Parts: sequence; structure tokens; C-alpha cells
Amino acid sequence: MGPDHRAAYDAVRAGEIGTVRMVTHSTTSAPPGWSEGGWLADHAASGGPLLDQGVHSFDYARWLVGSPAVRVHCVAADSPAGPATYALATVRYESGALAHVECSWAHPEARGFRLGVEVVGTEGRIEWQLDQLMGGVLHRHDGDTEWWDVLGDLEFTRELRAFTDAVRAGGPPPVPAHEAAESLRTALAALESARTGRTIDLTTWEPL
Amino acid sequence: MRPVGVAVLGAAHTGHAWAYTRAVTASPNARVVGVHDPEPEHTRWIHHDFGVPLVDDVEALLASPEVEAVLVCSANADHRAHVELAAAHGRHVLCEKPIATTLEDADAMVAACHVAGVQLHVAFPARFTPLVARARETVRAGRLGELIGLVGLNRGRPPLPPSYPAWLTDAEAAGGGALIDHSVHVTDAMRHVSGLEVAEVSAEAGSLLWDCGVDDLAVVSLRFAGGAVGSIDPSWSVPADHPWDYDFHLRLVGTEGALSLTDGAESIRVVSTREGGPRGLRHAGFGSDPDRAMVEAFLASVRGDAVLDPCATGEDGVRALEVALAGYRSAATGRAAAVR
Repeated sequence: MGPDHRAAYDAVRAGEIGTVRMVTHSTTSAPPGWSEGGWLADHAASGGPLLDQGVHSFDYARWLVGSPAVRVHCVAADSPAGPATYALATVRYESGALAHVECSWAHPEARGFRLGVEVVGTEGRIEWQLDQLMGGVLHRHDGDTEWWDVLGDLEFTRELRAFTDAVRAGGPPPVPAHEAAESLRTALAALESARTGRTIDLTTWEPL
Repeated sequence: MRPVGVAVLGAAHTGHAWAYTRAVTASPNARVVGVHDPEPEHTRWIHHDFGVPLVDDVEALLASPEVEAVLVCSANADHRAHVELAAAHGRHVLCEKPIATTLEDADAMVAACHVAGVQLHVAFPARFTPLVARARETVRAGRLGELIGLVGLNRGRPPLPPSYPAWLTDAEAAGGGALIDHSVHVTDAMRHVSGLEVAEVSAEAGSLLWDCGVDDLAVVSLRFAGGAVGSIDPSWSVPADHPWDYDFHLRLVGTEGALSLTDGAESIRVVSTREGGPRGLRHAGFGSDPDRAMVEAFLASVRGDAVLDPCATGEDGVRALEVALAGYRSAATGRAAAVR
């Protein structure tokens, strides 16, 4: 729903970079502070950054590649933010395409949230970082600096608009639930891979 | 002090042979005695641009009292024969990366140089960039705490003929494709900066972009001894008309901080509409030449009779090759592979 991700998807669907062969999606931050009672920090309750952020990356990569994931491998490390709060996952799709996902809660608070995306196709390449999407910056004599992110809350407002529009129209859902389930399955398999060190064959894998 | 006499033994890696020869030629501390490579295409530009004599008799070249050191820039699978030949003549060696295509060859090269009492250096110019040097000081001073994650990116153009020699995309001669070609730079930079050693490797690799017969896309995941994890993107994923040719990034996160490096910072944006030249937007780099710094450090090591920091040794070359070969084993089996 984010205009940046949507623009890349539209460029891919318009054939501007040929067939998608590799998607790299990185979302890194400090431990998010928004969860009620801190449930997000409880690995058992939240699944950590692989489920919080990684699931978006798996979903987006799958959407761009247009082919089901067939295997996933993940390495994760503990950080002061908790167990497996830094993770690197690699997904192979039926088409042969690859996705590489980095997600972290291990980064310093002062750095804020960072996003980096690359899409490599047979006829081109797309890339962007959140750092480039700062449309304004306000410096003040008292030392506070305000960065104006051009995305703002657009992805949330667009998501809610799409939801309410779909409800009013009687469907279909803008993101089908089976796609969300598929992304979750990839993320859960990545968690298992990080735990066991094994590559997970998604064509046969059953979550415990 | 008299300049160090240097021979170039094998110039099949035409681009790097040219760049290292230029660095030696430009140095007040060295002179190039001659280049030996039976293939005229390999030596054409070195001969043309720097006036380096072409020498047919390799034994005579290496036996020349003028020659103290040798640059080996042959095809990867030929490094062993050339390094062993140089060692047999008691000449110090700077060998192009990857050190070899098999661990058997790499170990033999290290042993041969050890027995001969000569230095074996491996060409990892990234060590000689100011950003990597500063990252190393920062990490070694503990400013990131204990490392948790290391991500390295080194992407580039596909090295396809006719701009590049055909052996670079030959699995036998090169040892593989993008994975071996670029991952060794990143593995070495990670080891150099962090002091950590890789224990286990998982990789996906494939020929997915250019139909060049070897892997052109790859992701290599790493488990380091001590618990940190990492990944390398060594892909030849930079298409024609892209504003830059190669990149190099390191992103590190530790218990006390995070550090992100990009060599692309050393560039300005140029748009040209001139006929005949590269058109459109280009990132024009202005960074210092790490090849020159590496060659100077090699020459200083030869003159000083000791490998100087931060030069990469044969052992460093072996460590980087172990990771790349474990990556290929993992990609073939779908399972994580121990480095040895």
C-alpha cells in the first residue's frame, strides 16, 4: 500500500525491468516501543522481527516475483533486544527467483527505522532507501531536527481506505487472506530454519 | 634504495593485470621488468600503455636478477602453477583473487611460498580503502560492542565477452561465477574489519540473468564463530546503462552500535549527452585508488622483508576461498556447509 512499494510493483508489472529475478528487502530498527504491555518483545507472543517486519518483506517479494516460495533458509542472532532479533533470510521461488530479507530490532534507537529495497530483473533494476525519501528537514537552534518522510502515514491511510472501500463494495479483499497466510508460512519456516540451521522445503513443510 | 623489479606472470585477468601494472609503473619504488603470457590479447594493453616488454621465456624472466617480485594475474585455475613457479625462483608474490579454485591448490600455494621463504599476498584492494580501514579501527576499538550481524554487498556488471576474457564465465577456469568472483572480497573485508571467522555457510546461487553458464545471482548466508550472522550479495546484477558499475557496502550491527559503509559516497553525479561517450546519468567516483595503495604496501613488504599491515596473505586468501566453496556446496545440496 505504500506509494514507494506500489510504484516499484507498477514498474515491474509494466515490464520495465523484465522478469524479476531477485528482491532484496531490508527493514531495520530498534525494538519497537508501541506494543501494549510490551508483548512484541516477548518472542513467544510476537515471533520477533521475522513475523513483525519479515512477513511484510516476504509478502512484498512474493507479490513482485509472482511465483510461490519453494524453500527458505534463515540465520538469526540474539541481540540486547532479545533472542533472534536480527535475522537474514533467503527465499527461493518456483520461478528460480531469489529474495533476501534482512530484519532487525538490534539497531540503535537514534538511527530510527530504515528501509532498503532492490529489485533485479532481466532487463533492469529498481532500488530505493528510506533515507532518500526525506522530502524535508527542519533544523532548530534548540538542537532538535525533524525529518519529513514523504511516505508519512500514506500506507496506513491507503490500507484503511482499501479496506473500507472493499467492505462497502462487498469485496474482494484488497490483499487476499491466502496470500497473508502464505507470507506467514514463509516467515514461520524462516524462524524454524534459524532455530535448526536447516533449509526448509516449503513444498512439503508442515508447521509444528 | 633501488626499485623493486617486478614481473607479471599471467595477465589473463586483463583488467586487474592492467591496473596493478599501472600501479607498479607509477610507483617510484618499483619497475616492471617484463610480462609473460602466451596469449597476445592478454598483454596487449599492458605492453601498449606502459611499454612493458613481452617475455616468451618464463624461466629466464623469473631467474633474472632484476626480478624480486611477481604479480600473478592468470586465470584463477592457473594461479597455483604460476605461484609455485615464482616461489621456486624465490620471488615474492602478489596473487589475484580468488587465490585458487580448489582448497587443494590454495593450500599447496601457501605451503610452497612458506617452504621457499617468500611472501604470498592476495589482492584484496578493499582493505586499502579509507572507509574499510576506518571501520576496522572502529570495530576493533569496541565501538560497536560485540558484533551481531554483518551484511556485505559487492555487485557489478556481468563480465561478459568481448569486454571481458571468456574464462571469467567458465566454471572450470574461474571456479564458478559471481559467487566466487565477488564474495571473496566481501568475506575478506568482513574478516579484516571484524576479526571474526566464518564457521558455516548457506547459499542460493543461479544463472538467472545473463545466460552466461555460471551463477550470476547469489546470496551467501554466514554463521560466524561466536554467534554473529551475516550475508553477502556478490551478484553480477548491474545492467547496461546503470549509473554505476560496481558497488561495495558493509553494514554492521553490534550490541553497542551500528555502522553502515558505502563506497558510492565517493562520487558525484554527471549527466552527459556527448556522442560516443557513456550517456545519461553516471556516478563518477573520486575515491583514492586502492589498487595503488595495495601495490605500494606489497612493494614495501618486499623491501622490508615482512608482510605489512593491512596486506592480505595467502592464509587470508584461503579463508575467503573456503567460504565461497562452502557456498557452492550449500547451493548444490540445499544444506548448510561447514567451511572445511
